[in-house]
Amino acid sequence: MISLIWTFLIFIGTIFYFITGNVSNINNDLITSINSGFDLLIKILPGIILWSGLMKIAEESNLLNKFSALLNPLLKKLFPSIKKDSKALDYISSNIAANMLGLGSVATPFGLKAMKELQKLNPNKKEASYEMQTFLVINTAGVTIIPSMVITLRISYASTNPFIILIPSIIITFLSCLFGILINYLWRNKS
Amino acid sequence: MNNISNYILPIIALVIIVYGLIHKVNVYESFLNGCKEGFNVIIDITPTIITMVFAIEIFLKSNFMFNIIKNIRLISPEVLSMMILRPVSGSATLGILSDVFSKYSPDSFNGLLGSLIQGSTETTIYVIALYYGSIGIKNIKNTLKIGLIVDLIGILLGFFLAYFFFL
Repeated sequence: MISLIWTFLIFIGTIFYFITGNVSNINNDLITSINSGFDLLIKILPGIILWSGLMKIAEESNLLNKFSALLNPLLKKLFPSIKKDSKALDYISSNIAANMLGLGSVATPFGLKAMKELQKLNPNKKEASYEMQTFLVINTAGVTIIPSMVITLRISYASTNPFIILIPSIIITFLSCLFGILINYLWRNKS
Repeated sequence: MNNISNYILPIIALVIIVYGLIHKVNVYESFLNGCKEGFNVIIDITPTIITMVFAIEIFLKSNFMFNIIKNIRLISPEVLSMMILRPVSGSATLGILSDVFSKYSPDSFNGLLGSLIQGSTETTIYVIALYYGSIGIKNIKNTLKIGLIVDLIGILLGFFLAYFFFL
């Protein structure tokens, strides 16, 4: 999938350079395109380092666990059929807590462990269970409260108000997540 | 509003550090170890970012999108590309967002709309493929459909909020 899209972007781009007679620029642009990747990395680097450092402290002081424990009552309502002795809920809450803070790379390992636990409870191993669907709908709707990478990038580009996106961002996240859960619930018996 | 939101990041940092100190964590060491992990994350994502941004730049600089949507004035071709690519690749759209910021500034309508799309929607197709693929689920039922509907809702909400709040 990614491979196809990647090829499509380069293919369309190159052909369009040829069509528009812009061939003199393409060689230069090919080289500077690599630089653009490095520039972007340099710009998001401070955000990644700062959050990784702070989150390590939060992890070792159990603050992160406390935070994800706050989600448990809500999650029990969303996943009523998961028994208490299953670790699935713990992984789900850790995954969602990390996603809330915009830490995608921290969230993914928890998400994969949660799927493994949900699969143990799944009667039909080839078919997605309702709980898996609920979990993935929440994940794909996004639960980010602090989009840290975007804010870092805004600061790097000298935004006059890098945090202005915070409130609208939370509104969108909340509404789309709610809507996703609702559609998923209404369609639960439809295949 | 402006002033309040400026306090958020420093207060979170302070709370985390003070909470760590109270619970007898060696905060200096922890932060240091976190930085090391951060560097590993950067090393991990560097090839992905470079590879994706390379293709994105060729695509955007060829002006293909610009010619396709000549008549749409409000949304830039870059942000429109973001809307299409967001469910597939977060690195790709982050690369485009960087272009939007340098071309129109982060505080322009397009900069704000791009920020909202990047910040409040997810790489739906990627997450579904990865999560279901990891445990061998073949029948995903309505998950993809719902995921994409929700993405669309997110993008539309982003457009309206950027329009009414900021324009």
